[in-house]
Amino acid sequence: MVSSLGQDKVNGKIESMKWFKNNTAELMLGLGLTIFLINFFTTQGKNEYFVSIPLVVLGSLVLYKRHFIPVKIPQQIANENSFFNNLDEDGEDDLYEDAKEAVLEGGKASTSYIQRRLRVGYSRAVRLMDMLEDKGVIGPADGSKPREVIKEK
Amino acid sequence: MNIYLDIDGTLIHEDLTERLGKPATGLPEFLKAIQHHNLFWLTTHCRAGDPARPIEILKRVTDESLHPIIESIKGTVWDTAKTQGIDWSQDFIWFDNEISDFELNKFADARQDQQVIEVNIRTNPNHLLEIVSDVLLEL
Repeated sequence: MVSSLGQDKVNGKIESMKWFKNNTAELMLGLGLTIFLINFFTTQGKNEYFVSIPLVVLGSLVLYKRHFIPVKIPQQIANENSFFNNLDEDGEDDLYEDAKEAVLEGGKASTSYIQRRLRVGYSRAVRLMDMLEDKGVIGPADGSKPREVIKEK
Repeated sequence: MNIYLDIDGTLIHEDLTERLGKPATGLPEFLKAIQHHNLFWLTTHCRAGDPARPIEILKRVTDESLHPIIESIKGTVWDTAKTQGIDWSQDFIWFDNEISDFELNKFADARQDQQVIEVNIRTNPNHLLEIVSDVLLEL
């Protein structure tokens, strides 16, 4: 969205916070190793490393969690965002029949109508419209004219 | 019904082409179709409840005859997510071109008549006209 100056400042702060959040593990690991190495070379290994150990351990744990433990995504978001999650074995969207039913019942065929009736996002509504067109349920897009509903209920 | 409106990329083009800042095709028809509903802004131009800025932006690109409708659009208060500005005790439709996963997730438990419609005037320049005929006329 087009931002005002104030909005840019807010966005800048949010970006900085995101950067720190995303790089906390690397920062902890780097700081821990630096402290360890400085201690090691300046005291020939005689000093205690109690400051660096927690940082290295914590940093390593966060990195391990990030890279090896899968993140759980809420099902609704996963369904909406993944192209393949909504497709059955025949490559058909699992809401195809509902979309067909809605279009035949309402006699209307548009992405907005599909969004309204099936509560899906724009991308999925476009995909359902393409499938309906491929299967001859609706006619092709023709500029600003409404799509023709070919099949009857 | 309550209707919540974004501006940039929804009512006015924001893509970096010659269309930047121009009103979407069908904006007058869209405004006329929603005029008898309770209208609210849900835009970054209005987070603290003062609707002056979005009203000014939209009046710049619309005919004077539409200004009374635009002036009737009320402000909302929200901070990090637009869903904070929505009155969830009422039925509503929210029109926006960019809905975050976090905001979308709020609709998991929403009622049938609490909806968000993703507008895409970038790839579908006639989207507002489509919404008027296929969504708003049914309300």
